[in-house]
Amino acid sequence: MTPATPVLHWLAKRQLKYNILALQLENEIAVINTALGASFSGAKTMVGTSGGGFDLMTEAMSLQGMSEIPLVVYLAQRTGPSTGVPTYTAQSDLNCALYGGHGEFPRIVIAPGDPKEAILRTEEAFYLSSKYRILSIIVSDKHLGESNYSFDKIEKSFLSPKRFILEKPNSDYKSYKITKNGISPRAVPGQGPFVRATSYEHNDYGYTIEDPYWTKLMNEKRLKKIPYLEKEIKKLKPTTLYGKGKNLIIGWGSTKGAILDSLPDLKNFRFLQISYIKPFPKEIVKKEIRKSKKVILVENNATGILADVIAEQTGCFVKNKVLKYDARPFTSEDVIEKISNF
Amino acid sequence: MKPKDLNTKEENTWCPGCTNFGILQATKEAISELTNEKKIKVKNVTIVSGIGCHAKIYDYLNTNAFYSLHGRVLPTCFGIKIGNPKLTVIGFGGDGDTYAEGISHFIHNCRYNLDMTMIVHNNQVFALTTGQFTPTSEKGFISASSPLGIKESPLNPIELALVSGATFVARGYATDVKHLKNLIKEAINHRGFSFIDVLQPCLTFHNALPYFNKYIYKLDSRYNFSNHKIAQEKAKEWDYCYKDNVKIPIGIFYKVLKPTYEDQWSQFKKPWHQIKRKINFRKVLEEFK
Repeated sequence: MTPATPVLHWLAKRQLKYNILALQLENEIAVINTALGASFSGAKTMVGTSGGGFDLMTEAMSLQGMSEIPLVVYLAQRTGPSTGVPTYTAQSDLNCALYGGHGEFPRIVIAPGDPKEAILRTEEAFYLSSKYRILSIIVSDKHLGESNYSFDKIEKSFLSPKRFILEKPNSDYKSYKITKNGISPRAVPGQGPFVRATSYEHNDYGYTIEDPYWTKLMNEKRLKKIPYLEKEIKKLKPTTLYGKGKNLIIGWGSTKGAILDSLPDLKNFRFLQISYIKPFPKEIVKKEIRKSKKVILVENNATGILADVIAEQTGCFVKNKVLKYDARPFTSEDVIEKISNF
Repeated sequence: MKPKDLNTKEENTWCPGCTNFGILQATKEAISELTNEKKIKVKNVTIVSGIGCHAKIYDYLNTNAFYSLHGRVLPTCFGIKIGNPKLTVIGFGGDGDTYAEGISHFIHNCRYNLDMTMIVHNNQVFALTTGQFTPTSEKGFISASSPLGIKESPLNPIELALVSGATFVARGYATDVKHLKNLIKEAINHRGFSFIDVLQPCLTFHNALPYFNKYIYKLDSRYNFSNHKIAQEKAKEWDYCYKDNVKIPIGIFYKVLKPTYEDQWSQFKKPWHQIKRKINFRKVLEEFK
């Protein structure tokens, strides 16, 4: 779905060269369920979509939560609600990424700010999704997903491209083994011991249960991953601080370019870019907000969704908001002009 | 191996005498016989179920298994097979599951012709949710959600599969275990998308057992299953309504060999998780220069 399609086009053209498979199927629901099936049998999978397509996929995202099959989702936001202004940009689907899918389960929501970061963050999305058997959502938008950028060089990622699949699972393999960190070692069908995945609540072998004992235990098992994830993302630079000054601009995603371009013209402002929205780097954000004189949120939407996330996660209320919701991306002139009003 | 080697220790919660037991038994016999005949390896057998009474088979078959979402059996099967083409993938769906919620996937998977098997437990009713009509319920069916009787005509899945391009189309009867076992074996052996609509009367919410026992007959060796036109005519012989003096054929309606989905992509050489990769970032980025 536009504007996620450039990724599909780019990969489809190179699928033989890099020995990957780029598929277009009958609809979004087929795409995400197929992706979960392929991941279950051992493939690294990612699906890409936008707005309404993402809505259609959310039932299967909840299935990811229950089945703990690794999955990466690329969400390219466009102007909503509904069909909206479909070939233009917005940052209005953050809540979909954070809360889409019923039930309680852990997930990662990453928002890269430019193409270079998108490459590295996508690697992280795969790494975390495979390691923790969770859902990773990469949030982009039309502005980032369909524009041309230039950058000089790319540092080598330090993440291992490991698949986190057991070499030889033992004969008493349990698909949902209870472990200290909630991560059950992963096996795939065909290795010998039978592997199970399920949308129902289950015991450690993956058989269906309804009793309170296993229901409680499995909920806890899945949620136990969260503190480990919170710890792990600290090593992945979840936020980046640019510039110096007593005042603070907070932003996420594709507004990075416009904000960075505006910084030299803004006196006494520094910019905190938040790249991990879930788990949320609350200590860093709280600390930066508390030590700033003015705090201004810059966001490409009408309500300032990130401010709500910040309030929920840190207890800090960001009241100054620079918002743009005319389906166009920010320019540095926009940022300079509007911030000067505060 | 024996069929009972595929048993699990899970408690069976189908109603006593449920015709789903026939499908379970036929599947166990088919898998064990094909394993003994060295046609398949049991470690590669992966079953997928949807949501409904049929889907409890997930808990009763000791194989690799995926309990997927309502209506999404086929995309899940599709994914498992393209994730590892060496697996023997068998999907189990209900009629509500496959022909209502998942109807688009059914049509497209008939068209894709990926090598897998789809078995539909067609009891013409939503049984797990205590009896509402489905797309294959007969006209006039009075159910919990249709006290005035349903006004629309049922879908004929055999006809739909044929026009959608399925390369193996069959109908089974859940209480004829031997016949069904042979159909399942043929379906698994068939290279391409194999579809079996199994008439599986629900004794609690839609008991058509006496009707089926009266009118069902088997397609015999005189029937030519390689002719699409004849198959379509045969499919029309019964329209899923409960009229008197009809003939309900069971057996293979149509079977033809066509290139499978995976045959036409060069990437399916081995399971993806066994592919070792060395990523040269610099080289990938070269093309942007």
